[in-house]
Amino acid sequence: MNDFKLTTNPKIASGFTTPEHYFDDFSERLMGKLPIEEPKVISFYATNRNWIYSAAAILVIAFTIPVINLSQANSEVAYNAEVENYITNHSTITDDDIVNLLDDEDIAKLKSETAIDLTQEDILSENPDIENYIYN
Amino acid sequence: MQEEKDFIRELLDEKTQNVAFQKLVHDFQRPLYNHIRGIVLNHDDADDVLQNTFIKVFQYLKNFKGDSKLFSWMYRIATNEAITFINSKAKRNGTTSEAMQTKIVENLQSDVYFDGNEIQIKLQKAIAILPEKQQLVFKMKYFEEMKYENMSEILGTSVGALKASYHIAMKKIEDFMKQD
Repeated sequence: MNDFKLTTNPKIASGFTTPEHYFDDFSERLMGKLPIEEPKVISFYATNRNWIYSAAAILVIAFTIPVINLSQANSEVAYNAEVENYITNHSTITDDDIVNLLDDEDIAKLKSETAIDLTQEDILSENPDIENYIYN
Repeated sequence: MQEEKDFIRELLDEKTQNVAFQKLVHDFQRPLYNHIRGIVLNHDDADDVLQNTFIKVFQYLKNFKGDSKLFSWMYRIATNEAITFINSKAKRNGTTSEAMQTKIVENLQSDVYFDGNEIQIKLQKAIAILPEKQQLVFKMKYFEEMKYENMSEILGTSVGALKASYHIAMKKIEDFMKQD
């Protein structure tokens, strides 16, 4: 044993053995243990998530627009009515107060809006029922 | 190489998968068993690890990129499985993998699946005291007669480094064998 050389000595086998027919039925035993791949269940929600979110967003917007419009229209009507009621109920506001609020420019505008030519004035002065026409 | 690509395609195709995988098992069961048995030493453990190796090969085949050869990829899985197995077994028994291996080798004579003489047992004892990497290199070269190029692909080590490892392992084993 003193001049032992792995390269010159006859090859030494490992000495490991296996049970008889071990390799004959190994494949069969193994195939029974292989994980069976179950068919994948594809969730409709997972695959169409983006489409579902988009459709939901469109529906929300579609239902919201008429509601917003309606509430805006209602609030405008309510506002005008409120202003009208306020003016009606606050009888302390006199014509003088209103006149004081008008400047020269406003008066000029009023003049142009109510400008009446002379022929019209004559017709009006000759017509005794003019006051009835105006008030009715 | 084209043959291997075709074979991999057969392994991945559901229609041909079963037949192709059975061929793969038939071709590789013996060399992989010998490789694993050399690491774990015990037949029952080698059987478990060999089955796990093929199960992993089956599971991860779809991720096999083909960057390396199929055989070296399978050997890598087998080596990792075997090393992980002996480390976990040693941990469960509250010992180190080296101590556990030495104990198995000392009891080889009583193993029903070991048929070796005094020299064979002494050689196994000599191997058991080598560092893990040298053990692996020595077993793959001496018992499995694997080419350095293939070993390099499996172990991810250069051919030069493998040759050096084998040379050192041989020297240590020869010194051990010379002792009475």
